[in-house]
Amino acid sequence: MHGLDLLSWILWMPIIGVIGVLLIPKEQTTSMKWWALINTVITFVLTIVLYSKFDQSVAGMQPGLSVNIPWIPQFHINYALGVDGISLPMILLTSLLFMLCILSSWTQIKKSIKAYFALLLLLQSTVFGVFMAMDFFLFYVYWEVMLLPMFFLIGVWGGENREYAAVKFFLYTFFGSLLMLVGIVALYFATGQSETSFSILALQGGHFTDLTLKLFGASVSFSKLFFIFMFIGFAIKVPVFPFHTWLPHAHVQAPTAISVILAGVLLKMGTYGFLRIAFPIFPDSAKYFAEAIAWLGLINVIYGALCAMAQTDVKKLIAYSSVSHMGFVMLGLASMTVQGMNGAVLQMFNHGTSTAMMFFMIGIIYERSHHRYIVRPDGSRGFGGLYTQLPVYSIIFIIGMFASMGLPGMSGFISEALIFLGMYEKYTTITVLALFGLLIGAAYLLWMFKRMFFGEVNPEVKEYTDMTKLEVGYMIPLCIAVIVFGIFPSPILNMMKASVGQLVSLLATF
Amino acid sequence: MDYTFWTIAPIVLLPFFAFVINAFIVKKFTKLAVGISTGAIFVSFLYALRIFLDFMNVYSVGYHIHKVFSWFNLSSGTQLFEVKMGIYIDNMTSVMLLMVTGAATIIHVFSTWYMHDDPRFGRFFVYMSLFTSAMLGLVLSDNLLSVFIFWELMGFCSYSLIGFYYEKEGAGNASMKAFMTTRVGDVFFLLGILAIWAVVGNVSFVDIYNAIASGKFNNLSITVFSMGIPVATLAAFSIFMGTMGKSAQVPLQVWLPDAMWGPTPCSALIHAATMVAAGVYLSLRMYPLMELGHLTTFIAYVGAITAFGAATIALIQTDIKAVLAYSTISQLGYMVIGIGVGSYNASFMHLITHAVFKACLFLSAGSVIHSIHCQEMPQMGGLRKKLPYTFFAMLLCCFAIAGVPFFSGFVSKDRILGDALVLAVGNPVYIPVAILGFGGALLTAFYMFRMLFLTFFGEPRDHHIYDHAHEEHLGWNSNIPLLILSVFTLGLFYSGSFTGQGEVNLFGSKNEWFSTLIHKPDAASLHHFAEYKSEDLGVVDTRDKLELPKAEFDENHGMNEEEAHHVHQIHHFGALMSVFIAFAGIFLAYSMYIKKTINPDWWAQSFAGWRRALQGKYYFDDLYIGKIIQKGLIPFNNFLAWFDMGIYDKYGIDGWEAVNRFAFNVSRWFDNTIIDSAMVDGTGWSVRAMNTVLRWVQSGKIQLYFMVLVFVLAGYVWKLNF
Repeated sequence: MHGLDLLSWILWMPIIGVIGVLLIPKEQTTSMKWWALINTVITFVLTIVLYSKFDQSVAGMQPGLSVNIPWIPQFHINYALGVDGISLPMILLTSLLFMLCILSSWTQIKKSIKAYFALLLLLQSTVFGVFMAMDFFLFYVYWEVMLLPMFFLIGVWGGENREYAAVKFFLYTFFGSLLMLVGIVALYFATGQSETSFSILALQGGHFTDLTLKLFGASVSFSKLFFIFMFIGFAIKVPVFPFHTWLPHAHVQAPTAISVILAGVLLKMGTYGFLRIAFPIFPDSAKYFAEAIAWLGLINVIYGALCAMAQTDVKKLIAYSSVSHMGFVMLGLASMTVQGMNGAVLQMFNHGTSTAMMFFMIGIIYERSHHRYIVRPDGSRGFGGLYTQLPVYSIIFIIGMFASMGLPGMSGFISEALIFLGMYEKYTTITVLALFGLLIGAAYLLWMFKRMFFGEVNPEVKEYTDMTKLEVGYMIPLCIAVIVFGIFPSPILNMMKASVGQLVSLLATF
Repeated sequence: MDYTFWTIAPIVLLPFFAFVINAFIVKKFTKLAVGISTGAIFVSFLYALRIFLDFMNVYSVGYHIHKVFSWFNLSSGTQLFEVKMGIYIDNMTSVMLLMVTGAATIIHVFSTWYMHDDPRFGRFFVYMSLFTSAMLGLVLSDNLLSVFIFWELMGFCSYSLIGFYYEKEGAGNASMKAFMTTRVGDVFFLLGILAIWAVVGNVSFVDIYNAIASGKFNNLSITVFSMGIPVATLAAFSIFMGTMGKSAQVPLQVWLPDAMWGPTPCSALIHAATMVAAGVYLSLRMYPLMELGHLTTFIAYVGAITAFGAATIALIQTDIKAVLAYSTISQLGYMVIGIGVGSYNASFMHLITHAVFKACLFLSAGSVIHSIHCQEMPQMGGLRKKLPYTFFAMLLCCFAIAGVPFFSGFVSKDRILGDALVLAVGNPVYIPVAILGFGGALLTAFYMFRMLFLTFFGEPRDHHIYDHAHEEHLGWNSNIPLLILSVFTLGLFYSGSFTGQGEVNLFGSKNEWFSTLIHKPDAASLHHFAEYKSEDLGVVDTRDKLELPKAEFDENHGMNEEEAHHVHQIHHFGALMSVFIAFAGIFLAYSMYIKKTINPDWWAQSFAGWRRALQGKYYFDDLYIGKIIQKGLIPFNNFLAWFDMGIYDKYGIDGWEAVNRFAFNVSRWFDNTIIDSAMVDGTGWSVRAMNTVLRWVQSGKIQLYFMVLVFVLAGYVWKLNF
């Protein structure tokens, strides 16, 4: 290997960015921003190079791109990176969204700019680490380290109740991580502390089907017990009901860019964990609990949507809509069919783009209004007549809203339709109920839109200016993504289908 | 004609590209954008005309074009899944294409007049282009999934156009209501697609027909909510729910009257001629499934209730557009009756004839509204002198919709009612359908002529409005479209023969092209579809069209001589009754509003209770919005949201903090009182140290937790290994 490999470049490029930001003097905020932007652009270009080198016919890890270097050889911990069809869309999404987030933070962040951009880039690196790590210990390290920049980004640059939200976010995820840690340690000993005890790939394939262990005198299935541990660990991140209450707090308090990252990328780490770890390592238990997962997914879809409908804070509304949309991903995963699983991974990507659009748009209006009330606590309208006052804003908002609603021709539709196609035969009743999620989904978004955009122009709204060139500039890539991938989903589906198909085949044998 | 991608696809692509281009240039080059939109749809129309003429030239029941391409493919290894899209053109499609492109072109031209002084002139055309391309895409679709995609896109355009005057609160409410109500139907439609997909393996029309013919649906049921439901019934019902939403059938009709918030030309195109008819088109396409699912009686009842109920509401409307809106619902009801009673080609013919005369009526209403800036009929009157062309067009259309012989509405509606009558004679279940159908026809004739008389006849009731009518503003682009459309209200175009083989007969003719070419895909003919092969979209069609046999019209529809005679007798009786009813309705309107021999107020007072119900639109809105949404859904949502944050999060999640603190206090108490005092004081220091550690741990310092975690892990692993 000559020099550093491509995955490591992508993984460490943001760290170079962090160092650069830290070296730039405190006063030169513009050069910091430019440095961060150039850094994320380079990262994005590198991920495009990664895409061009990606062989879509390979189901497993890309052979030419994987890395495996001993890190702590005493415990068989390796610096192992890899990329396959499930992680590549996530990596592309991550590099795209971080780039746009730098632009969105350009004017919105006003205090401690240096620390902000350093932490944001650090966060990017850890997210890449989660999506690339093929060593369970390395995965865990990135999963945990990711919490630190996130904690500070919410806790320092957030809204008025930011500390509460940050601590809540941290403790919630931390609780899940602990369960996951127990699982990692258990797997380490169950596999005899061998060379491959931390290798995610070697653990996969259902080696623990017949293993039992004694717990308080009772004999418990090893696979089922630790599947539940892992499940809770990842479910908190998704978030799956009943582990979802950190999300509205975190979203409402977080600054715009962090909300985008949170909803666009971090939630996907949970479902990615199912696809990469929980399902392939314990396929028998995944199969066993599939129906329960489907019901939880259904609760997410319906409960999240109904709660969204009652919100008067537009950001909280979108936060609950994330709960609802991630429910569709859970439904797709629970279906364990080729349509459903592909739909789920595609939904992960599509939700990343559409919900990012929504959060960006809310951030843009917040900069003008400094509030986010659809209806103020005193019952009067927070906005009203935005359509008349801000035509460009309105049109981009409509694109984001309908993409989020899953209008055919927009990206969300294909993934939702695939998920429904995948689960209909297995869980007909759940499908019928989940379809009503589409109805409620349209209801809360349109109702919000009606109250904010239609009608007479509020006196306050009259002072708002339409979107700046910069704002339009960073929305355009997302607009293109939600429309183009709604008409031509093949580029993304082709990327993932071999890897997803392999997972489906694995699950089918149990 | 050799069909390739380039002879078919421009029909959809031209308006779509017009939309894409105009979306960017509309602000600066409004006039150019309008020109591009109108030009694109006109060229589309030429393409459609070419296809239509080719189909008329071949003149065969089985002639079709079916071209497919792969949209995306998820197959890998043994897991197979591919989604194909395609174009399917048969006789029905070719007629539909001609109607949609023709009506759209005319309405685009009309809109250049109607909208030209609107500040959002250009934007209107952007939506119209997107809409037409979606509608044409739907018509060309060969499968239910792409029908659904275009169906929803049309819903989006409809939403945008109803909310076109977004400064108005009412427009916002109406657009949301329209989208949500149709979405109720759409959700079921999607369920129907899933149900069919699970059986057939895809949702292509031809494959569904084949699956039905080969009995794949027979005795197949699926468990939903622990109930076993036959798949065919589930699928048929679900898809028909889609029709009910889009075609505004009871109980999902509530959105269409509100849709009149949109500009009038968009009402003409979307809410009269094309989109609302797409629902009927879908059910026609899925007719074999409706039959298989034993749903036809239900459909007939839905149609009959809609046709009659909407007609009654139309009786008391004073807004000219509201009359037309209810009349549209009512006429869609007739099409649905047609599906229900198996009157397949009459239902489709009514779809086409209705599209023409209703588009014309809306455009006429538009030119009235634009000339006098008023929509209320009680303030009009005597306008025929001011707006002669508009009056002429509207008169012909009123004849057509009322079902006067020689006019298109008579030809199509009479057949639907005749078939309903035939069924009613044989099966008492259908008697209410026939009664409601004929009753609705009487009301239709009445309220249409009431509208005509109130608007154009008598003395001007509001002289200010009358004197300020801007008839001078009417230009060629407002009058020509009306006149073209009004010509096509003549029945001849639909009941005639294109081949010259038969004579033109007023009551439908032997060898008439419509009945010959539009063939019901009933159980007997489904097996033909096994021969319908699809080919790749890029491939040139090489079949020798001249080999195809010219279609023969079977006057007896496969019945024996005696049956056919019986049916014909009933049909003749039905036709006479239709004629009588049409004239009775017109006469009634004439006596009330011209002669004034009958006083409408007497009727209003005598049936005051019913009138209140009519004014309340039978209270559907009160039920849906007032009761279900305001009293049910929203309080429930508020409760859930309160529960989520106020109870579950506050106590269920944050409550752990209290539990922790309690445990800490208990252990401290245990430390201090039990251990500290009971045990030797010498060991006390260690307890206190422990206490300090505990307090330290409970500090909530995240960094600390993290550090401890890493150390514990390291120590744990260390201890176990060495």
